[in-house]
Amino acid sequence: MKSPGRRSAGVTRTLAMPLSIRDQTSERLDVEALYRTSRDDVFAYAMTLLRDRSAAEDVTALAFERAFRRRRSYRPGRGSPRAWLFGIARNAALDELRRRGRTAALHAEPADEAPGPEDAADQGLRRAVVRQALAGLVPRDRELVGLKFHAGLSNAEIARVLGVSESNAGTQLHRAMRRLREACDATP
Amino acid sequence: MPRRDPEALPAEVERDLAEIERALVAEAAPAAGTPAELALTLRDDRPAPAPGFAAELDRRAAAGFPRRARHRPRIAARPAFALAGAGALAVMVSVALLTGDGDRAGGPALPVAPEGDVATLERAAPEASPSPRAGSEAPAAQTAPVTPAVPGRAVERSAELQLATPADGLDEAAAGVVRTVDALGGYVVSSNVTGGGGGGQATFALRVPVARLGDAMARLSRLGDVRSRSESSQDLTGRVAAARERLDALRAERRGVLRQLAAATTPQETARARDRLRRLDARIARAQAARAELGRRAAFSSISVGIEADGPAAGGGAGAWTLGDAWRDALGVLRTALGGLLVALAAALPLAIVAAPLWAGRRALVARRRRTAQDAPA
Repeated sequence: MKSPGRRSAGVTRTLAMPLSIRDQTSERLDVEALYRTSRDDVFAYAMTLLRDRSAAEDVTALAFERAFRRRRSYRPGRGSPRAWLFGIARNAALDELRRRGRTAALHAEPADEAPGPEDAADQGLRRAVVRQALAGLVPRDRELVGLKFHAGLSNAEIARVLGVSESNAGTQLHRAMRRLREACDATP
Repeated sequence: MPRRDPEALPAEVERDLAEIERALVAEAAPAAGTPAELALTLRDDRPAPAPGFAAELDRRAAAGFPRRARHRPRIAARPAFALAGAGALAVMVSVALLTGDGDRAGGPALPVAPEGDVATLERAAPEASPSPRAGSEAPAAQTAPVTPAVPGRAVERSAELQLATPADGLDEAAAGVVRTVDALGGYVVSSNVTGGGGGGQATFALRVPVARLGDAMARLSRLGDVRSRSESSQDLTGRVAAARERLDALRAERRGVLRQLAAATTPQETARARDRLRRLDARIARAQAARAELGRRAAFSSISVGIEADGPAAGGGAGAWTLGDAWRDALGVLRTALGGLLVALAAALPLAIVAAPLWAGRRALVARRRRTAQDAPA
């Protein structure tokens, strides 16, 4: 299952990021570098959780706006900059999710990425099945999938974002994956 | 902060997670239907931002992410905050006005009677602070001693002193008068202080040991601007001698009456002698009092001090604005500022007590709503 020009490079960059986005001389957060390296990841996470492109864009912008404003509140001892940023993004996304439940329910957008001509037919079908199954998960499971596979966070960073232990985060992720697989299997 | 979980992951979970991690890093092609294969499918299908949105976000990032109106609720848009702020401001202003009368400037501890009333200040406020104007305006010539005492003669000395102070300096000057008299071993016979704060006047009748009169005048003159000063003396030697001679004569007469009483043989003679004796005793008592009064007049000088508070307020007096005045002004400013801060804190404390649980409750509610939002069906 080969995907041309895709996420592996981004994931590798993500894993090396905490060292590069910290000002080595003053321990101050280089939030501009954090933005450059995390913009797409934050959007992907918000999009996975909210399933609404407009809302995901709003949440992404709000998360970085807050991160810029609160850059002095970052403490290196309390997690990586990415975990700190995704904590902010998570609060913004959950607020959006809460607003959505309080007001009119938004309709999830249909998948906007049709399989490219280079994709094999079975690969395109497989992606469609996974998208449909992912859309049927509860937000808590979608969030875990988004943090892990779309934002590229490590299990330790996910634990920081969720405020749980690393093993607990791993357990929750495993359960979410199991439910996703079950949903895929149940998809006709 | 994440909690440390002492429980180890089940073997199956640990194996699947490790397989996922290996697949994500090494891009090894996993077997179909495995969690690793699903993980790679998810990773490769992640949503990407639209180019337009990404460009707009980049532009905002370059500008430092200025706040957007949508995410910047204004104070005015929150009636509760605006109402609370207005209430706090009103409370602070009210308290400041209620506590902002003439005493706020921190006058001495002397009781000041209302306008037109009279307050007796004898022996009052010995703890009052030194006058900051001391030493600034007293002319050197005024420190010269009054008429020196003449050995062997009884001389009554008296002095009058008229001072002027700034409009807000009356209380301090009055306290300085009392303090000076106490320090010199004298006493205040009477005192009247009218007004205060923005003006008024005070008069004092003082007694100080005659030997300290010169010192007293010098010290009192430093309490304000000297408008007038007069000293006088009256020789009481003759009157003292006359009083003594009169007393001696009365006592001699009394002794004679006592002898007549002893020699009386009839009740009428006895009664007549006793009646004379009673009248003599009364005259002797009056003579003794008169002699004692003369003695006090010779021993204690009387000083009459008048203070008019009619000058401009502090710093605008007839004299130059000195370092002492500056120090006093600085203390006054600090005192007022601290007082204002204290009032503000006192006003803010009840609001904080009310607001703190509301704030904590709101945070807890938001956290709870966020948790429940995740559990909503897709």
